Amino acid sequence: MKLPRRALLRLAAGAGAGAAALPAMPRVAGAQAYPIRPITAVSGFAAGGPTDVVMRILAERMRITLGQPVIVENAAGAAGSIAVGRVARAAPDGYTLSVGHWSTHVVNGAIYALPYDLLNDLEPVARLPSNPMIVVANKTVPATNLNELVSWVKANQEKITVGTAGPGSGTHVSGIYFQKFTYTRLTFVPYRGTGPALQDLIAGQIDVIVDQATNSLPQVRNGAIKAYAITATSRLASAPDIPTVDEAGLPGFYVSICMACGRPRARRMP
Amino acid sequence: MIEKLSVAAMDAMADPAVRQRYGELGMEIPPPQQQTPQALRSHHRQEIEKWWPIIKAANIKGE
Repeated sequence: MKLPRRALLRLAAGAGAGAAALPAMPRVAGAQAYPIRPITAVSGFAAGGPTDVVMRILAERMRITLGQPVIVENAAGAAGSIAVGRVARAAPDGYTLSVGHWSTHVVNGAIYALPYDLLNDLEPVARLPSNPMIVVANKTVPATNLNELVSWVKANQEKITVGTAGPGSGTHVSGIYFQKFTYTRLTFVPYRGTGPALQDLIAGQIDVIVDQATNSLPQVRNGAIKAYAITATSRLASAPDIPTVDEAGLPGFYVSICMACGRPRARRMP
Repeated sequence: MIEKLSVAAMDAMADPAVRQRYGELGMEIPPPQQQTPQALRSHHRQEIEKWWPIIKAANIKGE
């Protein structure tokens, strides 16, 4: 069973590479007809999550240009690496895309022994919208701005807890980066996702989260938590009153969950 | 083929209705010159170069 499929993949890969190597060759009818069937974009997270939502908005509009639907498929598991692996091994025929972000396509490579090469097994398609992080704290934290927060964190570091969405998550890596920028050692509290971490921040069980802005902003607007800074070079259009880290006292503390899509790279014939 | 996909994605990000929906979600759309496959490749490489040493130094163990 395995051999014919592999042979087929190699054939497809070879055809792709050949076409790419000979750009001046007149295009055959088959090439012009692409796409002739729906395209699948594989996301590594649950339906309704940010990756799914961002890709669905894009997919709906891509249909107009492509004349074929782009279907978002959620293959959650192993921190998104099941989904990426599936695309890395798929035929490079333009019908399977990988949609992911900073965690799946950057962070995972430093934590896990992945069965694929993030840079070489995928061909970039487009950089998609990104979402910076926001430094938020529970309402009882006395600091009124980022400078005060940093002083408070430094003075109380043995007591301060930072919520994360689990080991190796974007919030965890951002928290580690926050430690590095503030020269502190903090206690990380892992949760099963940013939702429960945010709930405990609101309830005052933990002190700080360096959270994805889209996740925290509704609670900031409700007055349920305090916001200190956006981890980017410019303020958010959707929250113009929150300063950037450069303005607020931690210049260069940039973290952004950038989304992107790619497709399997055509491999060379052996 | 890859060009068609990239063009379709970039067309989508230029569409006012799409931009409005992303804006409401607090998502920031990169300028067109940063959306291209070439720009994504160099951004991807830079991000790996920036973050891998930080993450490896912290010795994070995944789940």
